[in-house]
Amino acid sequence: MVKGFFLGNELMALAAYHAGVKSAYAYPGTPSSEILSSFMHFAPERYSQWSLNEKIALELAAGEAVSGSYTLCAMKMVGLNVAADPLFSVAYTGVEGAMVLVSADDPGPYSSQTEQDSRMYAVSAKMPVFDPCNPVDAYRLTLKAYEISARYQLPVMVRPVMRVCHSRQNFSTDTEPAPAIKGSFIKDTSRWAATPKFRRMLHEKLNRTLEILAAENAPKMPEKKHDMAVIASGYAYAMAHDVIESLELPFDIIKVDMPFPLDKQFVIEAEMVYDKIVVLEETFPVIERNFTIKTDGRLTGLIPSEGELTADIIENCLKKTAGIPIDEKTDSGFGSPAPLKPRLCAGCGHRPAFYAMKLAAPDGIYPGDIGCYTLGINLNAVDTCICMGASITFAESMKRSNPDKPVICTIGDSTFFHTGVSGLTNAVLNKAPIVVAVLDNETTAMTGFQPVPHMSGLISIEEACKGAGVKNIVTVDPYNLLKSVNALREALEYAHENNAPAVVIFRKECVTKTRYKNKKTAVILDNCIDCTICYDWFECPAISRSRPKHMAEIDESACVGCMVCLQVCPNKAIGVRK
Amino acid sequence: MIKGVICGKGGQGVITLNAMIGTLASGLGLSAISAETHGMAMRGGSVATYIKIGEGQSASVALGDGDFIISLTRDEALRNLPYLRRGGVLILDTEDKTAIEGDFRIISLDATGTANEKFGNKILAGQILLGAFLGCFRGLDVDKALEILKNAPKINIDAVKYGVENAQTV
Ligand code: SF4
Ligand code: SF4
Repeated sequence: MVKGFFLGNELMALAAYHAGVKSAYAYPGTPSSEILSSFMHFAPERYSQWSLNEKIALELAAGEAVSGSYTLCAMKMVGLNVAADPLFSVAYTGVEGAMVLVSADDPGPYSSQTEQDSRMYAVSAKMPVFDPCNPVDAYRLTLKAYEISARYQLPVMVRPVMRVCHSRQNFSTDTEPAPAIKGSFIKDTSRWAATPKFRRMLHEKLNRTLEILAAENAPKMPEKKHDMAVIASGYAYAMAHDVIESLELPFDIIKVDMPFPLDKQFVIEAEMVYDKIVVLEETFPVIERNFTIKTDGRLTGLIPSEGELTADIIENCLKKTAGIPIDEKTDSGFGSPAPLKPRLCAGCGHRPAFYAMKLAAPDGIYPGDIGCYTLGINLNAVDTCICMGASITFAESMKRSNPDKPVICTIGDSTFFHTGVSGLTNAVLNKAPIVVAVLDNETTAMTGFQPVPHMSGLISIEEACKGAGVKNIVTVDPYNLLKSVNALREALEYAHENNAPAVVIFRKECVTKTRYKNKKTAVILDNCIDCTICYDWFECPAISRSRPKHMAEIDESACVGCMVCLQVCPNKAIGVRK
Repeated sequence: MIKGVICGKGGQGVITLNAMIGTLASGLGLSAISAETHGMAMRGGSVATYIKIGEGQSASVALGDGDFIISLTRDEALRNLPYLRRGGVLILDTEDKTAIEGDFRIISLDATGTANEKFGNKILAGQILLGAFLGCFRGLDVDKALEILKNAPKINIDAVKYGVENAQTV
């Protein structure tokens, strides 16, 4: 018996466990990260792995599923970009056991670079995709995805949006987990090592399967009560359901569990039965593009093409379609304060590393990467943020276009192993005079402290850099500001003299993960002249400006006692409180 | 149905309070659904959760439709006020009500201060706010809720009771 108030991510993991998943693979990324950790929690006896990156995770999950086992693979949508290569290929070969890929989208976006729609990948790779509307629905549809994957021997995608991953809902079930289903590999080169000739045949077979699957899983037409209908999937369905019900709007509502493949017959019937159809889905018009007449949605401009859908947007769009006047919302009329921006934690080792970069190369270009340390933006020490691993490649190429500027890029430890090593090798081969600062906090902090490769004791960042061909590698403690600045200066010198990248590893465990708290805290002394450096430039969140006193002020409950601000203050106006 | 917003800044316990309320509602036999923000925002940024108790397929609350807001800071209360309906209730973990006024009830508690002074642990602020929330809505059975919590440490229950009492006396 399982009972509780569960996250969508937890219920998808539970469904995978109940379906008989033998092995689960993932790379962390908001909003998908809790899927694998929940699987570990529910099924400690089964195999699970934080893989180095999403491409590896997907290939591993596929390899086992091709061998007849049941597998789960989880990632966020930008991770699916990394995993796209195996995704397209495995869609053709199919699997022997069952494989479900959960790709979590982030409309908004809240914690991502894009608002892309994983269902578009499903469409172009020709992979069936389910779009759950809330946590309980995510449990049901994940189970169904396994059933279909096993029955049709295809990998199946489940695409929750952030609001499904990170919604909680009460749920209970008496279902017992199915035993882990494992198979063994049966050789068949025409399938598993298909040459282009066989690939065409696999494609043809896939197309036929998709048609049958679409017909068998067509959305259910409701009993007709209105002349207008909303056809919706995912969280947009859940919101539309609540809005239509509470405001009694004149729409029938049809839920689409599986936006692709969508049954053609269903589309024709819906267009025949209704005078007007509004399609609601996030974030691309995947369902809508199947309709040709009587339909309003994103393609017609009724629904905004960017940003997250909200209950208010849906309410207004439906009222507009129904010709119901839209009442101006009672804005309470208060000037609302700007949202607080996220900041590196007090005592975070990344902060002094960024600060040292600015001191070592004030006119430098600083390509950045993805993680907590993207927040180096606040310290003006992150100039670009493109995708996982792009800090090093950007450093190489930006140096080529800006030869007079020192270039120091920053990459976290997890990102370094994710896609950084190949970029670093490329920089060595192509003689890029750049400094790569590896910000090693010994964890994947941003997504909830998942483990990192070098903490296994089997590999180190230093060894990986050496293996990539880097000759100049130093490791420093960023809490020592002077040493950090010197290490960067020397690394820049080396890079320019030798036409080769140099690596500086800033090693400091994440203070939030370890709950680091020095017994002593820092304190502002009377000679503070309110120069603003410690709170505005160094921006430690424990320090703020005390207006009445015209001085800086340290919140002792927030200060963890890293004592870096003492080294930052040019007036020696910060001391240690014993 | 009861719906509303719980807000504060990252790391203050917004998500924990949300889970406590949802779990308790489930215990009371009511359906509950809530939505949270994780990731970047948790590093000290603005955090808000939306919750619906009683019915609903989604957790989203429309503007001007929330029955309550629980806010751990004054600024976040101000930012989320547009969600509150006329006659709703704002539960504030601070006595600072500057610039907050309107056609709704305010319960300002300084839960963190009280938790620290009266119960010796500021973590218990969440229990006080939970109590205040329970005390506000007739649809929630306080006695039954306390019955569900009976295995929790006595000090936690006392903090919840303190919240309940203070909600009613306002
Ligand atoms: S969680 Fe760790 S790595 Fe991230 S900002 Fe905080 S201290 Fe730094
Ligand atoms: S010692 Fe200074 S820099 Fe470090 S946490 Fe305290 S106030 Fe911030």
